[in-house]
Amino acid sequence: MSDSLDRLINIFRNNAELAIRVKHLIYKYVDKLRREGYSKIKIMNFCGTHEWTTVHYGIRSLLPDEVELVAGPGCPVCITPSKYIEEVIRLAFEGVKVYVFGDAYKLPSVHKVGRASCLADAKSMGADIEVVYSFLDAIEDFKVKKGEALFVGIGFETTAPSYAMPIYTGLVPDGLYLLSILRLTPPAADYALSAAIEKGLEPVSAIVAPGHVSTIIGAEPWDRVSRKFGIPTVVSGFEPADLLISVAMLLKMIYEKRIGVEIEYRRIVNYNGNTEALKYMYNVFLKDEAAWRGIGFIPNSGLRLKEEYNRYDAVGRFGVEEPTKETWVDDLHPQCKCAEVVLGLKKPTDCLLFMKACTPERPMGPCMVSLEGTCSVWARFGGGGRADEIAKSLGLGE
Amino acid sequence: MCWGVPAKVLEISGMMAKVDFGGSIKDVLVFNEEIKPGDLVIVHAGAIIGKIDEKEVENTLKVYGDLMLDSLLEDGVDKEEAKKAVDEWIKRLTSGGIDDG
Repeated sequence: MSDSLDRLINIFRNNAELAIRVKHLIYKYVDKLRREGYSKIKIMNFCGTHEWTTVHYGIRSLLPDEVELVAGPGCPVCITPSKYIEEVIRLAFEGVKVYVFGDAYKLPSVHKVGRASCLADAKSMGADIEVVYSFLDAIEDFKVKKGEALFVGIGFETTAPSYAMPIYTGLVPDGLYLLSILRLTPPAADYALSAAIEKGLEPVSAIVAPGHVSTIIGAEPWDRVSRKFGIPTVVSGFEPADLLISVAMLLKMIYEKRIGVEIEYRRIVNYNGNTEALKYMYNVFLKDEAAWRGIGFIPNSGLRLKEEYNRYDAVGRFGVEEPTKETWVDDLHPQCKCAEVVLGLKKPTDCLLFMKACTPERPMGPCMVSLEGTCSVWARFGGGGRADEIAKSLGLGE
Repeated sequence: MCWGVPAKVLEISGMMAKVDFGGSIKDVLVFNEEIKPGDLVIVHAGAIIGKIDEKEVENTLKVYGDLMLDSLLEDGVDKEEAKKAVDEWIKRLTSGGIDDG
């Protein structure tokens, strides 16, 4: 294992020479684009892990001023509506055992239930809440338990098959129910790209498509997004060299006026995706209009269990009240800018609460909770080229 | 949340696989029949989402190589010389001979 893995890491991570060479190429393409009249190239990612790589490895500070990397909707925890968390806390207080991913354990609700405003609070008040690594681990754990339990089914396409397969193959024991809060990325990308245009902001010039989501859905859905908005897309891996190569590929595509999708993360992504995983996913779930925290409803952007799998559905079993279009209200703290941050319309540092009232230890907004929420990533690694901004204000650098 | 962790497949038993994350050994779901012991895979939330195709690593580098070739040609380097330089560099990279510089 270590040989193959070390080889990959040596190529794409611990490789300053590759990074420097690609950076040189990026500057060359930007020079050409500048001569063509481009003054701003806005590249949006749709994956929290890409934002993590960007900030952790300081990718923004390697790029010319004209290239702006923007985080789009790429974190399923950040966009989980508050209503679901409130309902799960209510059920936990009523004695239902709850399984949840660690990433969503501290996800705040807007309204308190009793005195709890997240699952961690409810656990500290005695509710039976367990953090698990996977749906499979919840299944294994529940086999020896009594009563009824609920799994908080957060995730994008990457995670959906890991819920679908055990349900489809009958691995799920009686008494364990799935609350599907699954969301789909291409419809959200479509929404975010349209939002930038509608709000009269600098339109997005190119897309870095999510590598692991695309492992499941393939590059094909991104080809459609790309053609609809007339901008190039590259499906990228998650090592720093992957991202730099993807940026260089996108700049070349912009220069050559090509749209459509290219795959940089070829070691695992293909055009059609993981057809077996997709089969499980669409045997068990169907697409539906779904609510995104702070944003509202997006058509065909959620997955709910098909009727034949009602016996696993927490919504029916426990009478979970889901958000509806009629009753939808923005479910964020009044000053919280997470909705704009998720859509790439604002940066975390544009929010008055960022690192003042809202910190990773005491998050107020959902983007500060998940390890891959944009605000949390920026808070922990000082992202967004803040070091650069400070250096500039002191007259250093450049 | 779509974090993927590379692992090596140790055993396959029906829809389950035993994988080694580099010390931690765990049972995970496997969607694809073509996954075999010895494969390097990406695991996400207890499921193998795909197999890492090592041949494609070289193809990714070829994509980079093409970009590099363009650049060398623009700098006025002779075509054959530029091709040779790119090939040699990629060979060095994939043979694992690059250190962290």
